[in-house]
Order: sequence, then C-alpha cells, then structure tokens
Amino acid sequence: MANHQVAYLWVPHFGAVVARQAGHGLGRRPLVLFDEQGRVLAVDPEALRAGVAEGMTEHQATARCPQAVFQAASRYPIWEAQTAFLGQVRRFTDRWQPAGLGNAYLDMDGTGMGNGLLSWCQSLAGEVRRLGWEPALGATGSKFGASVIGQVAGENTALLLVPQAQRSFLATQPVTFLPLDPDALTQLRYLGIRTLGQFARLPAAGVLTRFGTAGRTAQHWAQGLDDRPVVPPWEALEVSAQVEFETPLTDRERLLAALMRSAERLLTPLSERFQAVGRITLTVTRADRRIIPAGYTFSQPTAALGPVRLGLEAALARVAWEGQPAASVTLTFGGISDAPVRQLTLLDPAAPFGEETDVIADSRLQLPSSPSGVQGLKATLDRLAARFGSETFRIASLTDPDNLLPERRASWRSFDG
Amino acid sequence: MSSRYRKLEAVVNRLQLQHGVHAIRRASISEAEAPTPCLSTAFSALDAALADAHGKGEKGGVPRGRITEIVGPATSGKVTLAAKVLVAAHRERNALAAWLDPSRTCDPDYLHRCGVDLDRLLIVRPEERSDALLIALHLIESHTLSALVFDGCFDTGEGSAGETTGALERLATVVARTMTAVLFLNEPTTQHQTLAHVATLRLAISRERWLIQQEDVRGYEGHVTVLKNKLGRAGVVVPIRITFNGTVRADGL
Repeated sequence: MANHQVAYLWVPHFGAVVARQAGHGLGRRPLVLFDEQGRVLAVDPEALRAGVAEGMTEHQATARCPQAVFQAASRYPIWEAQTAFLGQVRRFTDRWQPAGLGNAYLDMDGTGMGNGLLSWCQSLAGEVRRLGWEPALGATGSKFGASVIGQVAGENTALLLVPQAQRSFLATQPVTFLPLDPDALTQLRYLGIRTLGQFARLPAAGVLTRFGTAGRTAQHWAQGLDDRPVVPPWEALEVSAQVEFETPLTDRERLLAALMRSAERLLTPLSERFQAVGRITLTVTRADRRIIPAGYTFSQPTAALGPVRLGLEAALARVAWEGQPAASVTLTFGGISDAPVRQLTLLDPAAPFGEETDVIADSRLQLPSSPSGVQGLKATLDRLAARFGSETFRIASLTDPDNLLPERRASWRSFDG
Repeated sequence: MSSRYRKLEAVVNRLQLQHGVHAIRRASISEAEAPTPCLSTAFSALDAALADAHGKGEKGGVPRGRITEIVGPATSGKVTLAAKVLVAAHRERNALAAWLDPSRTCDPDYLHRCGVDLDRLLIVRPEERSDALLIALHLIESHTLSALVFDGCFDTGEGSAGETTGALERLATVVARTMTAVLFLNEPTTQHQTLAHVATLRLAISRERWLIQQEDVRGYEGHVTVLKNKLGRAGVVVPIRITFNGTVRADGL
C-alpha cells in the first residue's frame, strides 16, 4: 500500500478558460459564470482575487467584484470541454474519477508505466495542453495529498512526491485546503490554526468534540492518512430512501418537505465523509399506481442542502402528475463521489463565506490602520469569538441613514481590523 | 524595630512573588496626589463638578481606569451621557471603544447622531446575558480600549449572586491596571450592591421636563446627582440640558 500512487490532474479556472476560448467580447474584465441554480460555477483569476468563490450567490459575487462580467455557464460549451478533458484522462488509466470541472484523480497503479513516471506525466499533460489548456498535476500516495500538491504546483507544472514525504509536505500547507465547512475553518482561524501540520497535531478527542466526525476525517487527511480509492463513475455508489404517504399527497410543498427530511438523513453521512451527490432520481408512484421517474443532474456534485432542495424542486417539476396525487416517492442520490476540490487563492487567504452573510462593500467600514491597538484587539477578539461566537462582536455602519425605521438604518459586519 | 521591619519586608517580598507586585504595595503620597485622567462628559457644569478633588486645574469628567455607574430611569439621558464620553474617548488618535449590549437595544443611528465614530466602536451582543461580564473582563484586559460601556443589567447565571460579586470585584482590579473608562448604565431597579461598592463614581440622572418647540420635542432638561465620588465631592446636583435636532447636543459641547 505504501507504493500506491494517485495523480490529481486539473486545469486551473477551467470554466472561465473555456468560456474565454469560446466567447467573444468578454474583453479583459473579470469573468464569473453561474450555474442554473444561480450559484457561481466558475471564476477567472481576477474575480477570484476580488474574493468571488465557487458556490456564492449572484448577490455575494456582485458585492465583491461589481466590475466583472456575469454570465450563465450554459452559454458556453463547458460540458463538451469537460467530456473532452475526461476523454484524455481515460486514455492514461483504467481507474479515474472526475472531481469537478476540469479536475480528475487518476489511479497510477496498473497503468503499466513501469519506471517511466515522469514521461507518463509529461505525455498526459501534453495531451491536455493540446486541447488548449494549461494543466497542473500532483502525484503522491493519497487523493488528498495529490490534490494539495497539484494545486500548489500551478499551471504547466507537475509535482511528484514520494508517499513517505507526504506528511511533512502537507504540514506546511494552509489548513484551508481541507474541505471543512466555512464555520469550522473560521473557528480554526480564531484558534490560530493556520497550517495542516498544526491541525494534524491537535488532540484527536478535542477535534472530534468540536468538529465532529468530519473534523476527525479531515485530521486524518492532514496527517497524510487518506486511504480513499479512486472510484470510476461506473462504480459510483447510490443511496436511496422511500417515502410513503398514508393519504396520497397533492400539496407540492408538503411533498418537498417530506423529501427534504429524507434527503437530510441521506446527506449527513455523506457530508461527514466529504462526499457529494451528482444526480437526483425520483421514482414517483401516483395514486393511480402509475410509476413516473424524474431526475436532475447537478453541474457540480454537492452535499449542501440549498442546492439539493433546488434540485428536488426541479425534479418534482418534471414529473408528469396529470392531476394525480403521489402515493409514494423513492429518492435516490446517484453519482456519489468526493466533494469537488475547491480552487483557492493561496496568496489572499480571504475569510470563508457564509450562506447569505454578505459583507457590504463600503470603504468607510475599514478601521483605521493602527497599530497595536487594532491588532491587539483583533487578537483578543479572535480568542473570544472562538468561545462566544463571531456574531457576538460587531461593527455597525449607517448604510441606510434615511430609512424611516431607526433599526433598519444600520448594518453590521464583523470586526476585521 | 529594624529586625521587625526586615521580617515584614521578607513577608511582603514573598507575597509579591506569589500574588504579583500589585497585590501588596506601600501607599505613596505622590501617587495619591497624581490627577486621575478623565474623559469629558460634554456637560461643562458636570465636568466642573467632577473635577479632581485635589484641584491642580485639571478638567473633570469620567475617570479612566475606574468604574463609573450611571443610574436613571428610561429616557433620562444615560445613553446620551455615555455616548458623549465615547466621543471624548475617540478624540484620541486610533482610540477604540466597546459597547456591551446584552439587551440588544443599542441604536447605532442614535450613537452616530451623538457624534460617536461607529467605525471605532465595537458593539458586543452576547447570546447569553451571563457571558457579558466575562467578555467585558477579557476586553478590558486586552488594554486596547479607551472606554467601555455596559448597557443593561448583568448577571453571571441563575442563583449566582456570589459569582457576580466576585466577577465585579475582579473587574475593578483589572480596570485599575488599564486606562479604560468603564461605564455601567443601570435602571434604579437593577442596581447591584457590589457595583455600587466598587464604582469610583456614581451618577444618578433624571429628566425633569421636555423642551418643546413648535409642537416638536427638541430635547429635555434634567439633573445629575453625584451619588458617590472617590476622587472629589459627592452630593452635588448639576442641571443638564440635552437638545436634538438631527444631531444630539449636550449643554457645554
């Protein structure tokens, strides 16, 4: 097992690169692409530097980068490009796994490369480059390690690391590489945990108490202990649950609420293992005993409740009801894979974003740069926020001073020094 | 005599090693005479009444590194008085202040009208009311605040009057080592005996009449009674006038 090797191949800013290749008149402005749920699907480096990240709402993205071009991803042949990318990947190994747009894991065992590891990497990267993209590649003994190394490598670079050196390499990397939820990353920031090495050294019981099973799994990864296999799409798991109604339901809201309860139960263990769902399949048995299938495929695998709810709504809308109520529904989550690797800007460690906690772009909110006072208070607040919650400490700003209701004249933001 | 003195000195040294140099000290006349730095209340008559007992021409106000309690019923002017102290605190370059708001009644718009620089005011709204005193203690210990206002009643949990007393006594000790002016705003019904004991200054504020101009309320007049003042005269009653027309002005500003 010690010699097991996994490669992570990715094209930085894949969606934006494809859109720029296909689109005309985009100019030099930053580019942000949305999926059909209105969430950011892809960004280019300029938008990323401005603080826009995948998964944000349009409102959040606009607040951070108002000068960007905002467009729907469906306008560009991104999915054809993704198919072409995976077509190249499958030529080099039997076992490969997509990990989001322009990202894939490759199992390097059994590729018959012998000792020609470097030439194998070079020819793989060369094939992708021939399609007009500039890939990066990382290879080591685990999927998490390979993804970190690949992201550190950057465009047109391959970094190959012997599995034994993986832990020491990971120890110096930012803890934000872990796919923890934004709250957990914020807590780590408040606790002064900046690197994977610091996180790896935390007491296991403490991590389990504070961050749950997902935190403990993440700590294993930070320690270089990631034994997840590369799972090809045809071997991807499915989970399902059946919801039966005592009296057939016609109310779409109640039906959706019942499905969401089942979805939560199915998604919780997946989230703890940092897995995500690629598609939803609903098998509806109507009151007249007819069975109607309907489905929805996500543009990027997800385990978040918000997108899943929207996906369920879309799938329910596709069911041919013909005025009949539902007697039972079987909910199946298919295409289960690892959650997509998040592209990070390593130079600007922006605070993780919340669901709808917008930061108001207002330069007046900036505190005067000072010196020890602000920095000293910030250090104290980081410590206190870990204990009492970051929402406890706020700065107010009069963003709507003419509002008739005094309580609506101010908005709040966290103290960020 | 000298051997007894040496013995006492050895005991003092041991105690200072164990509990810190501040735990036991010789009283110093020069230290006692040094004027206590103050923040102006913006009410000139009140500042004059609070001037240091030792004179020296120092302007009076709310003392820094001490606890001040302002007691008064609703709409008597407690928040306005505290806000004006924050304005004085913010006159220092890069000075920061905090407003503890466990009851979540703080109105940033009103503070802004009083002249408070909101960008340099940290508003703290703990989820549990009982956390407020502890947070105040930590913030003051950071030595980064010029002033801290604690608006509303406080406690450290159910049935823990002893804990609250202990926390207030510790707060007084910590505040004394800093340059932070700490103000507690209390209703007459929520006064705390220990707070009254540890406070250097206690002011009772009350409203007497509204100032009405062309059927609009343009302010009010009231008076402040100095209930306790460890640094000067107590028992003084000072008339005050607060007027508002877009901005809130205090008499003497």
